[in-house]
Amino acid sequence: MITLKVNGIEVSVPRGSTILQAAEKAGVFVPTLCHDRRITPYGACRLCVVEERRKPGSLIPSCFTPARDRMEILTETPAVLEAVRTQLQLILVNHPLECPICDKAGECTLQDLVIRYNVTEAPFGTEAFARYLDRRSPLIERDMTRCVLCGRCVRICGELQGREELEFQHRGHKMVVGTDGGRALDCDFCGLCVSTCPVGALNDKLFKDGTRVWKLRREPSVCTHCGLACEADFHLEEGQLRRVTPAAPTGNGKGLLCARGQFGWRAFRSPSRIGAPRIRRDGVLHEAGWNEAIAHAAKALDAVRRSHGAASVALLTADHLTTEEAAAWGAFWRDTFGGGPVGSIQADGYRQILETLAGVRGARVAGGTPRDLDEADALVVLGGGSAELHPVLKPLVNGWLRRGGRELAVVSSWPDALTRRATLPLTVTPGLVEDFCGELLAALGSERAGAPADLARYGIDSCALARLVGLLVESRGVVVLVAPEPWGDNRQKARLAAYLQDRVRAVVPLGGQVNSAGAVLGSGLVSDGGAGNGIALTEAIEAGRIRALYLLGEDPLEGLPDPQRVRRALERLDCIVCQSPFWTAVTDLAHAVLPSALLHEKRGSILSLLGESRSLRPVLPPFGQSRSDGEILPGLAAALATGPRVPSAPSMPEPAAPRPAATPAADEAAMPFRLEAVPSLFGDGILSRQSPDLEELRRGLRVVMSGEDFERLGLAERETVEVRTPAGSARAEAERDAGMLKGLLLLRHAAGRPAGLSLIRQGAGCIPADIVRIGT
Amino acid sequence: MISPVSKIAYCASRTCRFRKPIDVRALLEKGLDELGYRDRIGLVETECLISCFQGPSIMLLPGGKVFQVLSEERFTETLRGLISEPQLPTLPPPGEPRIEPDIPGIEHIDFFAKQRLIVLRNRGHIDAESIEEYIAHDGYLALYKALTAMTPEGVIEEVKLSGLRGRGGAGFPSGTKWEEARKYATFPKYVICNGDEGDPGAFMDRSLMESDPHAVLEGMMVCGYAIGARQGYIYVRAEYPLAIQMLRTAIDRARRKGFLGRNILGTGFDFDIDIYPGAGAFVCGESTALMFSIEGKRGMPRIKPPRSTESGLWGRPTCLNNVETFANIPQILLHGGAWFRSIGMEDSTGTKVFSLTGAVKNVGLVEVPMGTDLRTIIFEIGGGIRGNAHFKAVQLGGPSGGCLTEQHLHLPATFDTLQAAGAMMGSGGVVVMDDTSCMVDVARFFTQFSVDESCGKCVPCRVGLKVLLGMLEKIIVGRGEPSDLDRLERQAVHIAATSHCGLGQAAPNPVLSTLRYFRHEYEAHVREKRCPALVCTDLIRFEVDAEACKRCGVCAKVCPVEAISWRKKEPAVLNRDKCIRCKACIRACKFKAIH
Ligand SMILES: Cc1cc2nc3c(=O)[nH]c(=O)nc-3n(C[C@H](O)[C@H](O)[C@H](O)COP(=O)(O)O)c2cc1C
Ligand code: SF4
Ligand code: SF4
Ligand code: SF4
Ligand code: FES
Repeated sequence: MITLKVNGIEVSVPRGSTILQAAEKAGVFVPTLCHDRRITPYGACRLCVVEERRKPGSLIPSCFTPARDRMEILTETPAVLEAVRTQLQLILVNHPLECPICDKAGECTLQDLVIRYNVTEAPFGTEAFARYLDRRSPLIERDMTRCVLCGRCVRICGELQGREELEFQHRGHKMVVGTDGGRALDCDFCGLCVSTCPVGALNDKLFKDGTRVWKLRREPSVCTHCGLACEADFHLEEGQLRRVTPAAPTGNGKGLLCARGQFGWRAFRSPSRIGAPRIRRDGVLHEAGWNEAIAHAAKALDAVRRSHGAASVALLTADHLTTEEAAAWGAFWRDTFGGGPVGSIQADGYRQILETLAGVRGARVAGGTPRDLDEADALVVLGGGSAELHPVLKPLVNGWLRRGGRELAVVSSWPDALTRRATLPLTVTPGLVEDFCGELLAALGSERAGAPADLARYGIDSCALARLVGLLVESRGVVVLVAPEPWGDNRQKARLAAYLQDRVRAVVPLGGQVNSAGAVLGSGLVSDGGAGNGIALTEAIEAGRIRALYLLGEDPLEGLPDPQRVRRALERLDCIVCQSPFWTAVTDLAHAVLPSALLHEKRGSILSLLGESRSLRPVLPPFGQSRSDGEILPGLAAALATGPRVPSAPSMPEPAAPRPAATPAADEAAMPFRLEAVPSLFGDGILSRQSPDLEELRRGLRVVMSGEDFERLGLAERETVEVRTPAGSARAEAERDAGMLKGLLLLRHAAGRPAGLSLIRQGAGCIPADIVRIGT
Repeated sequence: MISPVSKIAYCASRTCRFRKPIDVRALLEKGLDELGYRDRIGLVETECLISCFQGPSIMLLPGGKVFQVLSEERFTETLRGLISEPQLPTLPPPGEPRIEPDIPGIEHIDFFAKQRLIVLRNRGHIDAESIEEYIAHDGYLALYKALTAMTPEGVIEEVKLSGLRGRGGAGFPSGTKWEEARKYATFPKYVICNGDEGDPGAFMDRSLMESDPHAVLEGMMVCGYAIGARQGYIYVRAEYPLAIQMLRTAIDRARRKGFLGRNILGTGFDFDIDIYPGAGAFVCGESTALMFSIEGKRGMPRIKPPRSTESGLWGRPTCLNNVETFANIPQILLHGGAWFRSIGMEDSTGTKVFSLTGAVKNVGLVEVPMGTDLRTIIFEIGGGIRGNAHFKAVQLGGPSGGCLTEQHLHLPATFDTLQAAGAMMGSGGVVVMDDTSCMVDVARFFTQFSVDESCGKCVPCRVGLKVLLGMLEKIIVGRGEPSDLDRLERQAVHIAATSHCGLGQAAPNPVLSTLRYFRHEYEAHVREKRCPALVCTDLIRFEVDAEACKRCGVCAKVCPVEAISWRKKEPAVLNRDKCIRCKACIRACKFKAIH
């Protein structure tokens, strides 16, 4: 620690802190424009100048100059004030004064500073260059005439998001921020650039020209699009949600959101929200009152319970319940249906891994905290798609890497976002990541901690593998992230994770929905035998072991491969109860539809994947007659309380092993590609699928291939092609990616799309495929 | 016949060809043929023999005497005389007639006599493409000495003892920089040679890389040994194809001879050098921008800390020095730091190469001991002002240097004295101006350069300089007001005080120094709307002063649009309606009668 004085106020700060940090600690205001504490200082605006008492006349930029012991910093000397005022006047030379029509007015750093420093005249005149205005990009509008060239967007995009979508172009006073070739944005749409822009140059299109910021009320809340449950600020105008921004990066807050969090909020009021309960009578869904609907559902469930036993009723949850609700539902399910099959579709992999970890250790699984991540010396990621499942991992990991000397090992069969940043990328032959994890476990477990036997099979370099084994064997500073495959098998990964959890600093299973962690760890909305996955469920229905389904926001038709088979199975059921906020494909088959509230309409707590507990207050009014899952439960429980309680051991469907691939059909052998379905950056979950804006970014089903394959097939950019697999065929937009292996196809945005789901098989990491140009 | 001459180097540069269109090579071939030396005396083509003002010239080797080729007619005869007698590298006894009166030897010319060559010593004397010739001139001896007889710390001590300061502009003590870079135990480390040389008018680094590339390589290798690096990069301006070619050849030869690569000279020291052609922006010469540029990023200066010696190229400890700095190293190791320190001044040791240009008679590169006064450089070496004009100012240190006046001519040229006077050493550009230069216009010219070259990162440099330029332009077209001068000064001080890198910090120097020493000229512009040097067109009335007019009529002859009427013995009359303000008459009038 060093001690210095800022305007006479003594502060102690850690060695290496900047003068600005010391001033902040002393509570002294220093004007800044190009500084954002999320990224490294840059030194462009030169507004943060201060003077040292012993060196009068020399102006020190405080945002990056390290504080030294016994410095005496002055921030309001005449020289400093004069410099700040001149700097502001210079910035205004090229900045159009269109505050009345600028959305930023009221929260614009430049405006605030101009007022604070009483800059009322323009001694240098004005010369606003007309720079470009980009209105073509989705969701983000770039009005570069307003840009003050602070470089924050360029840096946050490159440093944290790792995209480098924005760059400086030209030199001197001709400099602009742009994309290569001036094209529209085609990026992650994390919105970080919008969140950092101090002026009105980068705008959220969903917010633009709608209102004025001073009419908004800011409500701290969380994003519910994935299990990281990032803190977010909701901005409301008379009860209407106007925009969502990352929580201010103060204190522990990381100040990060992704496209889903920042732009996915229109899902909350999507046209497919269910307004009132419905019941099926004479084959048609009729609107009904709550009591009637609950009685209708209870009666059907009771009939199944009586005729086939309680364990013939299965529950699938999308994990959008608060921890308290999940606890109540868990208790109810155990009491009423004997703890019969409970599972999830979206969070299946996560639940599988977590339950394996918990099974080894008892229910007390800590997982990794943000601090574990922050302080780790090395991160090992098992499985691809981690930062696609949880996009904010990308800036988190990039920020962590930036501090240098750190190792990021990623085991993946495709170039996902983290593989591209990895210091130790291990690219495994497509389809073999599970096997590889199994063999790695065997190797680690055996005395000779050697390398897996048949390296050639996995296609990894032996040095890289030795390094990975080294990391896992010796280091307590390692944090392991386990990313499940969306429709694949994850049992080997789960076993490896369980083996590692006491040997490394922390193991963090990924892939959970917003409160999967709370549902499993906090309250036990699980079945005694572990989660059942989709294929097991389908088979159990086909075999007549499961006769009824209770769906908590989940939809097997939109979430499981082979939708035709799933539909046939669902049609055999005696009863389906849909308790969901949204109309989805499966609601058409429901016997009763119970509209449930979204998390933002409820009160309660949730637990993030990283073990942070967050409390929720209703920021939005309930939609229509919808009720929270917690409110629905008592009526249902009461209606079912009278029935026979069946404590018998549930006939839990075992998680299905991947079915041995049938002898390849002739056409299968001739298929030159291998196709892997991967998570969508813009969210596959029930909530993200409802956002029209995220859907605009997804642009439908997409198939990604290497540049070489793309060219060999003679495809045009964004050409629609037909993808064929032994499971089915579908049309998708072709895309190329330089980082891809030849012969590999990635299928994006399959969730929620029957066409996409019909291409893949449950439990198979990857499937043979072919691409056919349409019309040839 | 045996001749003491083994080689003849001749200058093939365009400058010399322009001075006198003689095909020297053909002449030499013919002459040697006729004299029967064709097989015995080799011909070496060089780019410059440092005597551009009196070229074309040839140099006899060994010995290195330079002679001017004046006539084609008697060339063969002259040559016979020259090559049959030993051309000893010592001066002939004073007063003794030259061997051939038509061709004066260079050591008798002030331009050379006052110079002291350390880094330029091999220029033109050796064939840059021949490593053997470099070795024959003690080449790689310093490296050998360092590797076999000195510890890395010893090398650094020697460099510190020499007092060598960086020749790239800022004058940072090189030994200290090396010591810093050695301190960090992060590997790999890098050595970078800054050959970006963006200052317009400066070409000492180019000349060094072209004529003595091995000296630069050797300096880098010694540095690599001292700091513990195994890889060096030379960042060369892309506009220097010959320098790149010469360095490539040199690196190739050095690798083949075992001076570069693995296990150099059998000592176990590994070092290699690669060339990186520059990206073409002036600001890429700034050390951190240069490293970004090598990394393939936008060349923009970054914040410090960390210093490059801690985290430079690819985040590794990096020692970056200028070409001339490296070229000094072998000599320092060979002759010792104390020897180097004995040359020049206390706080600025050794020599400095200046590129002397502008209104002097002799222009070119001059290497003089640090602390040589400006008068010696301009009036003795440079031969004084060209034509019948008078010395007015000297601008030192490249585009962001400052302008000094007659009263500063006694100043010894050292890093600190120049800085104190408001100019700077910079890369060593010396632009001499006579009284036909308008200082406001000079300030505008250099400010324009900085405006164009600013990388655009920081507000004071990007916007401030543009505003400064606007103020100067306003003054130049006659719309300036007296109060503008204070605003100009305040603005310039603000830019210097708050800009991020050397470019912005120094860019106001031309304005500040001219305001300081030539304020009267600014006053004339803003108060009397008059440009005393008759440069700013908008402030010229274009009238003939009948009293001053000597009625010679030259003006009428040069006017391209016949706007001046003149009859014998009468003052000329200028018709302003026809005049296109080209100033041809003003330049032509010897009596300054038109203003
Ligand atoms: C705008 C700018 C341009 C520069 N250009 C050059 C250059 O062309 N060549 C050079 O050697 N140094 C240049 N420098 C100085 C370098 O940043 C650096 O200080 C120098 O190369 C260090 O070498 P030295 O210690 O040997 O002088 C420039 C600095 C600035 C701020
Ligand atoms: S939205 Fe995110 S990825 Fe896209 S340009 Fe902005 S910061 Fe970069
Ligand atoms: S767009 Fe905004 S954040 Fe980006 S450089 Fe311009 S002012 Fe800064
Ligand atoms: S002073 Fe000028 S050249 Fe240097 S960083 Fe700032 S804008 Fe760029
Ligand atoms: S905040 Fe320090 S220079 Fe911009």
